[in-house]
Amino acid sequence: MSNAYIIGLGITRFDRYPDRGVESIAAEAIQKALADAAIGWGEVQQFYAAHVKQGVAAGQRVAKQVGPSGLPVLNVENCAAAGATAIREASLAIRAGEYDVVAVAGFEKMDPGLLAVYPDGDPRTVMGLTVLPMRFSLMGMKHMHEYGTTLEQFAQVSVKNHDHAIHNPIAQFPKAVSVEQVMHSRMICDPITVLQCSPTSDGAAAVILCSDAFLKKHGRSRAVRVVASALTSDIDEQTRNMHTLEIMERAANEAYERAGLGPGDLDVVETHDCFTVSELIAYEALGLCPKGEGGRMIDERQTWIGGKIPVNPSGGLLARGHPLGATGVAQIAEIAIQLRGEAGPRQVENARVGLASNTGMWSCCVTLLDRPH
Amino acid sequence: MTAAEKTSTVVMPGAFTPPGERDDIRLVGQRCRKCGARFFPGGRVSCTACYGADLEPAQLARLGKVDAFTIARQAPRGYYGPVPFAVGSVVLDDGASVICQLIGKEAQAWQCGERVASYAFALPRDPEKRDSVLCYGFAPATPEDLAEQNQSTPASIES
Repeated sequence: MSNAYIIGLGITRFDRYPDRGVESIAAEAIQKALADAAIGWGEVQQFYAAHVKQGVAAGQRVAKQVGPSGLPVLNVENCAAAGATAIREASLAIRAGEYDVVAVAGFEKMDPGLLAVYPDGDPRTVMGLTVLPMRFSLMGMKHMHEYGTTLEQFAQVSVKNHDHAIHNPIAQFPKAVSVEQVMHSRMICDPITVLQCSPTSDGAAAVILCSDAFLKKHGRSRAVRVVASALTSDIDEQTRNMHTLEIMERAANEAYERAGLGPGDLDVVETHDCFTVSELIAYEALGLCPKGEGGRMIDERQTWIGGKIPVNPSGGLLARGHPLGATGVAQIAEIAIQLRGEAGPRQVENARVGLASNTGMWSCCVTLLDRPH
Repeated sequence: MTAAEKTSTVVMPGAFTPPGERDDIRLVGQRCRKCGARFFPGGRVSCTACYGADLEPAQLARLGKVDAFTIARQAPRGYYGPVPFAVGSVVLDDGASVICQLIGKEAQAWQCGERVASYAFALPRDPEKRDSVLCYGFAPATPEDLAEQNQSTPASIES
């Protein structure tokens, strides 16, 4: 069975683009990825388009924008986990021998305000139960109750990720914030304040994946290997009373098992910090620390660049931005940049194995990557 | 005026029993005839605990305790009730678990582990607040709620 390799990547600046169509934003990322891989659009055998609310057949619209090709297009909607899910599907097709080179792009141009998941008039909407970030708020409040995690510890996640983003040229909010600013910003849904919520963003990220055979022929010394991936969905949030990141724990364990790796092998992690709570609890779900010790990890600065296991060197969703469909692709692209050693001032030293954890409602896709010898 | 006197429209028809004089209700979910697990809301085709397919509608315990809660400080789109409001995850005495609003006291005053009982309450469902709908929620359990519970043993909860 062939391995799947990332041989090219491209990301647009995550920002607001009121005057550009999503097709143009996505095409920019794809063109950058093709140039990085030194291949042409005509060589791509299938295009995977990850997006959440970009209308019908957005992938086909984007493909035409990149150039005439007529290649197969697969649209992947998996809420905010769409990006990593699409890369997983693309890598499985390469592993199965169906294709030698494929392109994946995640893209989104978001409506302002909080994401509406259920339609107006739905009983959950009428009762206020669709309020974001309720699910993560309940997790955070329970974590505080059970383990004594503090508001300040959650706030520190936002401080760290904003600090990391200063060195990421594509980040939407590359500026430092203090723990006081984060804690005293407007409370949205306890314990999460507005500076602990990922922003609404526009942007796109793309990667080119290929097989062993293509890599041998093409010879890219900067290739990064997709070692393993796993995709899970929620069993039943309400009836099982799960105020945990059980879906991420299950996905991580499956990916570790497939790769023959464990959390101790990781050099760098990108995780889905849609809210600060989700990053702090992810430390535990990914096995970076024992249950209940996420707060201690951030206190000890273990997840800062230069710490024991840097998390979200890109700035994460909180500071890089969170264009839904683009996020998972951007996470994996950041790991690839780190493993190539091309991250400049935000480079994690000697990064050889990385993990990206991409979560949506109610799925999680974990991807393990390494730099082949 | 009780909530039930304000409106007879129910947010999820069949999700709870007709309100009593104090707006007290019992949630109606499902029970698995194979393993006995109860869950809410109903309408599922298999048990959420054992995947058994032999399910029956069941009234759930009135009392439970708050497992986790949060305070929503702003209204999500399509919600026209008061803010802030508390949302909690309640584990009922029969094991069923429900996420809904916590009512009957200040949103900021809730604690994990508090004893609660199920009640109907009215929420508007249009921006002009002309039209309201009966919803389910949990309020602090009163001495009366606790006394009622003592009269009905857990075994008699089954419908």
